[in-house]
Amino acid sequence: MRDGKELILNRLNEISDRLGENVTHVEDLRRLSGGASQETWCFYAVGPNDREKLILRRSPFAKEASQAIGLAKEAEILDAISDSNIPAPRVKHLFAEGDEIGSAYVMSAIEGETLPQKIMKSPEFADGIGNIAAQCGTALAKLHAFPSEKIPGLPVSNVAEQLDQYETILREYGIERPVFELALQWLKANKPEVDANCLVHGDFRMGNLMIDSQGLAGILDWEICHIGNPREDMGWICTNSWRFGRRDKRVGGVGDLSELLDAYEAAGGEHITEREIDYWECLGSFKWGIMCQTMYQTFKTDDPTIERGSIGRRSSETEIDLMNILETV
Amino acid sequence: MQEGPSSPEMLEAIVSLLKERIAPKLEGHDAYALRVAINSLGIVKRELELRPDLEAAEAERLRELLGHDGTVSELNAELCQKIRDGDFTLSDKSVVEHLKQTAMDQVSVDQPRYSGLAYALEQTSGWQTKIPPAR
Repeated sequence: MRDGKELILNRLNEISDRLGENVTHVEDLRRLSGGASQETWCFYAVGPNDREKLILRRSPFAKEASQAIGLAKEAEILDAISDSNIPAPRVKHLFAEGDEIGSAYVMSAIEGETLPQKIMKSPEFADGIGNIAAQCGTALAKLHAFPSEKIPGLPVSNVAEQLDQYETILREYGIERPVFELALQWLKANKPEVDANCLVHGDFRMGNLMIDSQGLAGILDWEICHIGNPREDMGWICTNSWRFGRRDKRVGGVGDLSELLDAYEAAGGEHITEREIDYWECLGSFKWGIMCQTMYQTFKTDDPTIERGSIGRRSSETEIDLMNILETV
Repeated sequence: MQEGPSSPEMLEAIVSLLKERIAPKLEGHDAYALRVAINSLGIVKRELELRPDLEAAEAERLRELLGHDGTVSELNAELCQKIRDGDFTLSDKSVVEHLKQTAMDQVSVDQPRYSGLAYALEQTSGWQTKIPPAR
């Protein structure tokens, strides 16, 4: 099959005994919607008396995300932080390098919803939604305080390197979009003094957060985890592309930044002001705008699906966001 | 060449077919992919209707800023170079206004209901939209 469903089912069945005691086989494999660069599949591990819902994370396009640490490293991080009271999935099985399934691992399923539009509309989440910003602050404080030396070999990514990296992409692809140039020059000229000094998630935003009726239930997609500036995670979830229409709620369209920052400090994190996050939000829009163009490149070379190609047309959303931000700085 | 039905008219009929008759039959990733496809057809339709005027206006503003003629892509490349070289910065009001206008026009084609566009419109008085109101 085009999407490799049969291959995945076969490979999961071959290792099913490692997915839990008495597991005999797996069934009901289906691809979950969303996620153009990473595939997420849901299935059940079945034993004589019960069945457990599990998740497969798979990256069939190895060369795509240049900043990705790889799913193997992601699994290692999830293992390392599993005792730190940070809501995240547990790893059940990591496929060996070179396995025909591609880079992939199996993890526990956290119940809830990731699709921001559903979270914002459904009455099921109405009570929990107001908790998310503060819960994010608490979770980020624990994550940023995690002794990162326990995970050797994590990439260090400071602002200067990130700007270099994205400028290189602009030049390589010959992208001539003046708004990106203006943002790049401003970001270069206004780099923060404090830089990379702690473990950051790197893709901390709505869509990667599992939400249930109480609010934040799990943080997913750890693939670009690195040593960075704690403000990066905060600026990313504030980036307007991840507010899904609710521009008035700065934290992912669901809460106020003050709630996140207050909870962060209350949980032992450093004092950070809302104004400091402006820079990181601008960086977030700049990076996502260029990433949208890299999706277009992958569309042209490896994955000619409309799901991927159309993301290229989201660059203009970040351009208007960049102009909105740059007018106020 | 003939044009009855026009490209936008045909696109509208295709979108209706996909939305009303095909979408209810799909689920999972295919349903998601179809939503993306329908949205993309909307972009194509708006581009057919709006791009000629919007791009002509962009070219006119670029000629004004740079002081000479050229294609839109040539002029944009030159504007990029001038920003890189520091000849144009955030303090050049005419450049900032041009870039904001161009970004608003582009989002109007790509995603007219985007919250960043609504906000920009609120902040910018006198911007004349050619965009039909969002449905």
